[in-house]
Amino acid sequence: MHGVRPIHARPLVSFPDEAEPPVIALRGGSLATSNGGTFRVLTAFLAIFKDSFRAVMASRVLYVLLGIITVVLLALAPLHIRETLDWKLNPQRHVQDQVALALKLHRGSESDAKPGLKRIWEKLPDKLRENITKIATAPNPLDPALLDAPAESGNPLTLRLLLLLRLEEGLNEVFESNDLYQPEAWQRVGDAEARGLVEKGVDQLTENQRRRLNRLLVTAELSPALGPADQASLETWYGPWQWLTVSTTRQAFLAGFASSLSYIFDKFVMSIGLFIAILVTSGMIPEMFEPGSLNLLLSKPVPRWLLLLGKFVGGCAFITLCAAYLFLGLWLWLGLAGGLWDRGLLWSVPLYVVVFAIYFSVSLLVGILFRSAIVSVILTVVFWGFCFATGSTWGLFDTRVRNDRLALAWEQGDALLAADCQQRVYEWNPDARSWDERIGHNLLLDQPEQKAAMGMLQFLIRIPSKRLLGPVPVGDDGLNLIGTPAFFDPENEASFPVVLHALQPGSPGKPLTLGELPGGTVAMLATPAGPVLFGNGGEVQLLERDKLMARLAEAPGAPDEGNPAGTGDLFVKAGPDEREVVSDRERVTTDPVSGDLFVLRRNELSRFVWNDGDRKYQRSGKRELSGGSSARGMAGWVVAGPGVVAAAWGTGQITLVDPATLEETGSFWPDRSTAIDGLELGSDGRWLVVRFRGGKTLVLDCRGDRTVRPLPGNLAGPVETVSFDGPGGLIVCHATNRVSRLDLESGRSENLASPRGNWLHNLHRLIINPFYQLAPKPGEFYKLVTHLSATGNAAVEKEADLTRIEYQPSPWSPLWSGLSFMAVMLTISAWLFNRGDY
Amino acid sequence: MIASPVRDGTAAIEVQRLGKTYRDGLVFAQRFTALRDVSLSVPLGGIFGLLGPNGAGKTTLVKILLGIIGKSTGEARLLGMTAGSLASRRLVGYLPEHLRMAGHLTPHTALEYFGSLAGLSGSHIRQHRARLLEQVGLSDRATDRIKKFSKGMLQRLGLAQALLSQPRLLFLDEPTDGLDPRARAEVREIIRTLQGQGVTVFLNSHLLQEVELICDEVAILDKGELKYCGPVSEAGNHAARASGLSGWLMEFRLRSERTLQFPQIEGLHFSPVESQPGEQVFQAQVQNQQQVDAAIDQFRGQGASLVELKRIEATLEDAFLAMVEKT
Repeated sequence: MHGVRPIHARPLVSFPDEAEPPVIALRGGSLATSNGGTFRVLTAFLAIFKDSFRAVMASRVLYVLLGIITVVLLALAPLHIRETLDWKLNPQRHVQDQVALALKLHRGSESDAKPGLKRIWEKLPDKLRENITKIATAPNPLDPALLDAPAESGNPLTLRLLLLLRLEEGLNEVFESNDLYQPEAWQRVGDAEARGLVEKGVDQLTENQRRRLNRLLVTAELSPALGPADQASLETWYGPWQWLTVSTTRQAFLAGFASSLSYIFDKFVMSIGLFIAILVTSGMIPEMFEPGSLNLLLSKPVPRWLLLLGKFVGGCAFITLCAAYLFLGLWLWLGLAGGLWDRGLLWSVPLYVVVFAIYFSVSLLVGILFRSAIVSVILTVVFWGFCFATGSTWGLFDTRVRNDRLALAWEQGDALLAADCQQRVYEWNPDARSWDERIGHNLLLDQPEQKAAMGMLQFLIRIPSKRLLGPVPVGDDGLNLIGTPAFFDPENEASFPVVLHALQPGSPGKPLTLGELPGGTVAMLATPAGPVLFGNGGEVQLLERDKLMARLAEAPGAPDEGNPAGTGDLFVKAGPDEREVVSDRERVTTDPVSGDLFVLRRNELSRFVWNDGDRKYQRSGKRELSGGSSARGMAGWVVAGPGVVAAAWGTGQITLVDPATLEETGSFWPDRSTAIDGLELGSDGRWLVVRFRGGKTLVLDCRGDRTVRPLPGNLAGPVETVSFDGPGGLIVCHATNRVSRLDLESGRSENLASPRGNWLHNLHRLIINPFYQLAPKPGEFYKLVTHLSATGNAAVEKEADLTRIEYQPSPWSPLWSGLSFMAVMLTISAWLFNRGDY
Repeated sequence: MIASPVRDGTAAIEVQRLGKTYRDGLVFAQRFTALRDVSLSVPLGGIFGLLGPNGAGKTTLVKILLGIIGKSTGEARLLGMTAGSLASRRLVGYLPEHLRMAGHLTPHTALEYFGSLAGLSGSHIRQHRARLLEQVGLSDRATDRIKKFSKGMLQRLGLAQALLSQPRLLFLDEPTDGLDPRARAEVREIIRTLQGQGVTVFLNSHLLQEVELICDEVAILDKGELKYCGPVSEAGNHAARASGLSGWLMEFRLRSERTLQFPQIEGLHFSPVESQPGEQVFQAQVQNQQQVDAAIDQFRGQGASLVELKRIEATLEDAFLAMVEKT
């Protein structure tokens, strides 16, 4: 040991383990344990990370945050749900046609043959019975006077809603009755659940069970005009206090809740959490830039980018800690209080951290540029606002543009016609290279307020495509019948009337509005006998051409003026005696050549053939398809042509059937993850076109090798819809309102319509969309959580209805774009930090 | 044990025509030259002092050598490696001026943190940190939060972290700043001990006396230009030469009852320094021994008796002030 002089009786610097300590040799010794550059980099990175974490653990902010989260979780803990038997009437879901229900109730006053119905009639309030009697005996059931409504509010929609309210009130009174059930009125109880309750002894039932029994008895009598009650309703409780009752089952409620939970997490929990996170981490980088601290750091043998990355990851680790506590707490609460154990929701933790990291990377860059925590917070929040504004604007414009897109196109002689998602019908004007509107919105009220509301709705609600009824040709003169549903409420369109129009393509005149189609009309189909309507009770009505022509010759009443006659008189009942009840128009089809009617109910395919003698459809076959799904509520499609019937289900499976024998001839499952959006079959039954959500379209040659292949030809943009024009000619709507004819045999395509696009479309395409694509999309991360959650559920459920899973064109894209943006921010930050003089 | 990356005979610091120009502003950028054509060499194993007034470019030079800022022109090498490279930084310890450390750290965690950044293994840090903390007088505060520390304690901790990696070259920027006299003495001892172990110490300090006490060589910077680089003892002569003076300063202490006249010798100008009854003191810048002899002869001719004749050496402060003030 040399050169060591003790001060205050202790050595100043000594290296007792080393005799004659050569400093370089000592350093070598220490480095020898470090084992090269990678280890050193890793050690340094971990040190910075550990230090950031230590700083966080020592900060009060963490404990304040954890305290706030604990308070929130404790406040939520007493909130829970309880399931009870359901009996109440939910008018939107249980009543499809108010008038039909009223008429059915009225039968109770007429006949002794149905003692149960009679008993219900007796228990109805007197005032309602008076109203119903008047309605049943009047020529127009929707006369304002019958419902004691003011004459000026006498439009069909208002009157239907008024009647619905009265029925709801009256029937709920019946359900609450203590003595509805009388053994003599219900000598035979068909419903198993009701029978169980009766056998238990009506006097022994709780109040809720009695109401449930009443509901079951009434439903049995009034079906199908009155839909069945849900199995249970849910009561929301906060500790010992009841808060809200929802008419749904626990399972349905949780399924619906789970699908929106990630959205709620994203919009409420994440937004608030993100702001706090930005606030508390904004000082990390500016603190690092304090000269006495930074110079020491920069003098260490560590690359600057590593210093920055270590700080960045340390900040993210802090947020991970808070997010994990919050989301695990929420997840546990949902599981314990609601029985919702969706592991997919736990993806919120890492994804929330990524969202935070996107903003933290911005905060990092601002911190390097300005070295101020306040400026960091302000600019990061401004950027957040910019992302939010960009995403919202894009969402509004995208919805608007999508709602303008064509959902159907067809050729009629020389004319090219199309309908958009909003059920407006257009005719192509080749001179102006634009679409001329022929049939506008179905405005039931046609008031300025409704028009204004609709203008807004076009930006807010994405309307499902192809909801038009028809077009169905009448005769050979090119006249088309088209039914346009009300624009309002796409989810419950069956509750509202469909207006029937007669359109003569190529003629300059306005299309003729014939009035409302009969209530409950599911589909309007073309048959050799003429247009037919298929009702939700399984009944078929045939158009009487002569009556239609007579009506066209008259001046028809517009629907908004209230056409008393409607269009019911234009159609005559055409069977069948044995009916198949479906409420989805995609499940009914006709073979345009033979005129046979096919109905797909669950996985049962029924064939009805036209009997010219009694001018009725009669069932001629029924077969359960082994390939299909029998799940209730499963989406389904059926199309028919010469020699082939194709049926498809929400699972994505497609089955081909011989129309003569109803034997299955083939089964395909071309895509198990993307929902089918529609089926089209060529008029000769050779080509089957399957359109999936997102524009993917596949073609199957039913007569050839039966291989599934993509749509041939070069089309611009995703395929919006297709329809056959002849055996192998396909009219394809793609890009934005562009229509082409595609020859499936040769793959050649010919442009039929290429509109210039209006200013709104161009603004979206040229300015808003590029901005949106470049900016990170933190507001869309909930979709990825939903996707991950839904994927998990779908994996459990073998027969998942893909149409019920929200379609995400690329659910991972927000993650990739967010990570790319973050990488760019970090690279710029590292570059600036590396070249800076401090 | 791996071989030393430093070759024998290599200078600890080698700087050739080093320049640094700062640029301020993006569009109408203003330029400021902080260093201009600085060349110096610091030998291995010595204690080297860097002096200069505020804004002279001292910290800029140190930061360039450590890679904290980039150079504009010239070359700089540390221990034979490019200055600022990761490899050179691994052999260097640094105590910055106005040191600050995050308040959540304790001496133990601070040494763990900075040691890990220096590429040291956890076992090495644990092995040496207790002894180092004892050496800088912080062993009894090893687990206390730094936010409660005084400036002096922080400096001690800074020194400990600089020594943890057992550097070959140690940069100390105002190491005694904020320390009391006893602690300053301790730091000086540490520096001397390190020198004894072959560590090169680069000391950046305002305290001229401190530099004069412990440094072997010194460099003086002013307005970005190197004014002197060499042994401390030669600084005065250099300053004198820089001022245009030749020869040396002699002091004549004479005993005489009457007032003495200045000797009349060509090229020699006397100035009175002190006068009291019976004894007078004169100084003159002499060029050669003949002038001294002639002056003594003339004083003796006036009846004076020579009490003391001494050669006056300039202090570092004199040299510093002479060099800096001149510009």
